[in-house]
Amino acid sequence: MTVSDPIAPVRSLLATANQDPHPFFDAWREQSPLFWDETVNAWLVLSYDQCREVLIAEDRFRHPYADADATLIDVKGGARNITVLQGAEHQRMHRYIARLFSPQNIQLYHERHLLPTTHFLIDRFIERGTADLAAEFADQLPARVFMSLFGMDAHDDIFVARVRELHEIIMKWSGGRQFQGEEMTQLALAASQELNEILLPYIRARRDNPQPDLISRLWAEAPEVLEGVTEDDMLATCRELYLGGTDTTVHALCNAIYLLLTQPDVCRAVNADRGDTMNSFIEEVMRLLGSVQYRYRIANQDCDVGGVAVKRNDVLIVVNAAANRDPQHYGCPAAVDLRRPSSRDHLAFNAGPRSCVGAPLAREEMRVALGALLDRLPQWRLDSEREAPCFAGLFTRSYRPLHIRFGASH
Amino acid sequence: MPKITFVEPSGKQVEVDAPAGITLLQAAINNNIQGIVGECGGACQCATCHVYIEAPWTDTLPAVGDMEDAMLESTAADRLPTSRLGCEVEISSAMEGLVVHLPSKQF
Ligand code: HEM
Ligand code: FES
Repeated sequence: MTVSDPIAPVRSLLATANQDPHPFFDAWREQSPLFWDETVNAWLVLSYDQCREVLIAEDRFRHPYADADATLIDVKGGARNITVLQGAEHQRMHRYIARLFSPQNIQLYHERHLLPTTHFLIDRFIERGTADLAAEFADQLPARVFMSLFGMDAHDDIFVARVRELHEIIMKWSGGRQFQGEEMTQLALAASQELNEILLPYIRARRDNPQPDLISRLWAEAPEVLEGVTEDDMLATCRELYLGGTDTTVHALCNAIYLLLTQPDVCRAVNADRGDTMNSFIEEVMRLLGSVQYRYRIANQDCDVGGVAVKRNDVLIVVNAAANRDPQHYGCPAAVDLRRPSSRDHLAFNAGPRSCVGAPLAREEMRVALGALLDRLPQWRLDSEREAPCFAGLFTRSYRPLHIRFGASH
Repeated sequence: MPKITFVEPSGKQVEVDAPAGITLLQAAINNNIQGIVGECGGACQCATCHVYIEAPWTDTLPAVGDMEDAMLESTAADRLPTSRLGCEVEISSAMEGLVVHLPSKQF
């Protein structure tokens, strides 16, 4: 790289906010699979092999929540939150939740929760011929699916808006606690407290009077997973499922819709085959644009990662988004390729013992949502008279707004 | 090194030399076998490394562990008496000639 290269001086993850980060990642990765970023006091891990290595070897690279303090536990809703649990307890919980979202269970959720919630949202704008699919659809769907799963009123707009606001505060805080101030921590704590107050009445009601919903199911089955299950454990679990499953899926949906709207050949292929081609498309969205862009890990000992000496207790930021476009691993990494072999080996849902347990639900939600949009919005296209979408964010990223026009409705 | 045959969902048979000590999942990945995913990286936490073991090996492999048994409940293709998780079967020199079938789907 030459000195005149505009990217060279900006060696900072933070400097990539609200713009396309990939030219930066590509330039940095070409020099080294990881480099020290002074602005965040951490190694940025950029290559596919090293990202995967760090994520899989939990014995060498711990999740930062292994060192959780009281503040973090408060914000996460409780000490036996799956992301805070360690060792055998974590494994048991992870396996249990994975089974909760197994292909068999996803089929049940599809009929009862995903389809009705998706169509409820589309019905609201179908007569208008225009919509912002980010604000009116993608932002709304994952939160309302969870409310439906939890047996809450998924149609209550004021309730949904407040719960979403509170989670946005918490997501912002968890995206970079190190470089945000005390004020943000206080906001996150207050948001967590309010969410507990919202959720607790439901948790108590389902304990005393089980219904056919996820909270009741958790009450019935959690004793097999956690010894002496308490109200707090239920709070922590429901809080994490909602937190892990909503904002993440919002960004993935926006990115998928954006690609369909801007790549007509891809859109035609997906429209024509809602089976394998749709599935490959979803994997390509996750690989190419993703949702969660990076994760933190901490080195347990001095070690060598991709030829670079990392010291004990150094922080590593695994940049999943950069790994997913590593040219050493993927041919034509910046293109959508619906025939890519091993299309699921990307790191958008992480890899290793803390990989995403909700990925099957996220994938099904995307399949249902994209299928319904393709069916119900004929000749949809970006509205050229409205603000154009931009790839915004840092910790999570997505294209928004998504103003569209579409043809005669039915 | 024991020889192991993987039968991909398409029916294609691939014979590989697999060193003892690695898992069936690792051997499949090393040889670019189609039809296996291994999303959790071999931590017995995702059930996307589901395989069917051909007779007579089904009964001679080390038994299914408790964790493996629990995860086998959430495979995408049907769980059969011959089902195992590829990441939980460690290859040994006694497995010369083992035949492993990949299911039609992993998710
Ligand atoms: C497209 C949407 C999604 C993306 C991109 C995503 C991404 C991720 C990533 C990167 C992790 C690893 C976190 C870490 O340990 O560093 C993770 C973990 C997790 N995800 Fe997701 N996720 C999505 C959807 C969901 C859904 C729908 C649910 C709930 C049903 C969910 C629940 C969880 C949980 C509980 C964990 C923690 C697993 C553990 O610590 O063992 N996620 N997710
Ligand atoms: S690789 Fe995930 S269970 Fe085997």
